[in-house]
Amino acid sequence: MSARPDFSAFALFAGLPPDELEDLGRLMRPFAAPAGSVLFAEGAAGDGMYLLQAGTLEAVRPGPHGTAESLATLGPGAVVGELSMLGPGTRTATVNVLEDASGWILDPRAFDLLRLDLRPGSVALARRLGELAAERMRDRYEAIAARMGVVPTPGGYAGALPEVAEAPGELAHLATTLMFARMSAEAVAELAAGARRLHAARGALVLTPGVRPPALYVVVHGAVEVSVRGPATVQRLRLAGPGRAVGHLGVLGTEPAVAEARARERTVLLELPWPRVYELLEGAGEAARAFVVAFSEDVVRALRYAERPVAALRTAPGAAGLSPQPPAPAVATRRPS
Amino acid sequence: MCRVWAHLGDPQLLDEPLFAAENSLVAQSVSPALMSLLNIGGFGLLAWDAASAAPEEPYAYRTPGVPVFDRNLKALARKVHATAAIAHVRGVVYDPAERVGPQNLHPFRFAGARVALAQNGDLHGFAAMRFDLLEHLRPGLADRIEGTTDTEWVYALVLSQLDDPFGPADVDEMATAVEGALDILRDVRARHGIETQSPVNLVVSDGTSMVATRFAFDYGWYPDDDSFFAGEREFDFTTLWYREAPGGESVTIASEPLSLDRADWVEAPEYSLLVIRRHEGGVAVESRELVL
Repeated sequence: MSARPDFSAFALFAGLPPDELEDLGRLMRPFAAPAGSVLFAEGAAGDGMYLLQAGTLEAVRPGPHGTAESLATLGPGAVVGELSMLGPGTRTATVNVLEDASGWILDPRAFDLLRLDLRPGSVALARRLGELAAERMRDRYEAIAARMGVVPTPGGYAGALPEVAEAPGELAHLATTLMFARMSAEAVAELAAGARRLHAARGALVLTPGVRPPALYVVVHGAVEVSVRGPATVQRLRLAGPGRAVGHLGVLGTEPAVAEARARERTVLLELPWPRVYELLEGAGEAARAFVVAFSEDVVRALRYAERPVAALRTAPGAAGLSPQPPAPAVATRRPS
Repeated sequence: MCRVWAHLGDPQLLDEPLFAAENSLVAQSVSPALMSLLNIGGFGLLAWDAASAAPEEPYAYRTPGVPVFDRNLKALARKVHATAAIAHVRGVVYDPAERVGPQNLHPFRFAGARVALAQNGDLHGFAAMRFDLLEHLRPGLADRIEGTTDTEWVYALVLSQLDDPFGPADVDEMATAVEGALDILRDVRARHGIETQSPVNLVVSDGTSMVATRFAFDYGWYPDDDSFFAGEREFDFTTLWYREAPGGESVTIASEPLSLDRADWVEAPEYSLLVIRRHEGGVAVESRELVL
């Protein structure tokens, strides 16, 4: 094996500047795992992202009482364990080695060195990992909806939430929440500037299934649940408390969502319309780069939530009724580069 | 915050969940995996044995001491099998106003009552709202409250929603009673303007069936200070998990999985009510959406 990874074999790194790849390569170390071994196990702490240069892997999700579901068979060019790059958490699947495997591993602590410095290459990689996670999240949501026999029909847009004024001390509060905790006070203020604050009463719809989320909504206070609701059961996909967002899938384009988002408690939301989100995702300033990392980490948190083994719930009487909503406004369709 | 474990089904030797398991309840009492800190305020256990002479009467063991050093509990756990049980480690905050003593230990079960209750939670501002609950309690129940915890009042409130607070109750009646009690708590909180996050994970059982909640009032609204409630924001929604035995012969509930490998465990969704009932072939869990 060469002394540095051949990044051209991995689509994840396509287009990153050579000097940034050079820095990333220096942080990687080689790995080799014999056939029959376990590369990592579901539930273990994420120790890094693996770039598979040779061999064959199988990703499986262990179920109760010794059962297991095969998720994918992976060959050279595959990247596994990438979620560990974006925040703490445990492995969501077990990866078994079917044929002798070798490649490179990027330690999340090493990646953090670049990330904390908001280096362009690490920010770009964080954005791509976030997009990958968003695609996985969309697939996960759609699989759950299909399993429940739920087909979203365009109904309307929950855009009538009343606007509220910025509360005293709100910026200081935001700075303590998950999404903003690692940002400077200036970056928090820049991100929140000009964004509308919306109030959602308990039970109010924030996002409607069948419609592309019109904006990214960050919870300031309270909680919003994202769920797929069938006639008799409901599957929770996320409970977003302060410093977490809903509507991430809107970043992928115009595809309509299969899930609804509803305020579980009285909730205050920060609304970031997609043009603003894209501006941030493509921006070069400190606030923009910090947002890319925070957004990607939140996508990963949402994905991890959706992939947890959580029981489906029998629907409560009256909980499924949706109130009439006004028609959807025009929304931006440009995707981030 | 507290830790709780409960079981319903085939006879279970108590040593495994209390001491032997990798993340046993006693291990959690000194090193919980899913919360920041647990200041131990005592331990309590109710264990029903369907084969005993009076199966509706549980063994009871409560101590304000630290369970990890409790040889009596260890000896008991190595001997006793239970077909239903609730065990609870009480967590308390560092505050001179906190009362640590035998009268504040869960699970609560008034003398003569069939239904027992333990809580993993805390009602913010409870001192302000406590006496407004009196009007919702059945006559005679308030007199039986001996301690200072919110849980004992919640217990009296749940009993008050039953047709007969001291009689047998089937699992659906217990579930309705729990929902009714939470409804009352929400109304009383609103009357007092209490709008701070308050987890209310309950485990309720009469030894033949069980109901549990994973629930919180005003989740996501934290006090702007360094109090206990603010400190818990890092740990989010108070957890509850359950595990069904491979053959469906029993169900275990716990604040956190008892094994490091969590593949056999299912996380109860937030805002849910677990209804656990016996049937001919064993025990079944039904998860219901809890919308109040």
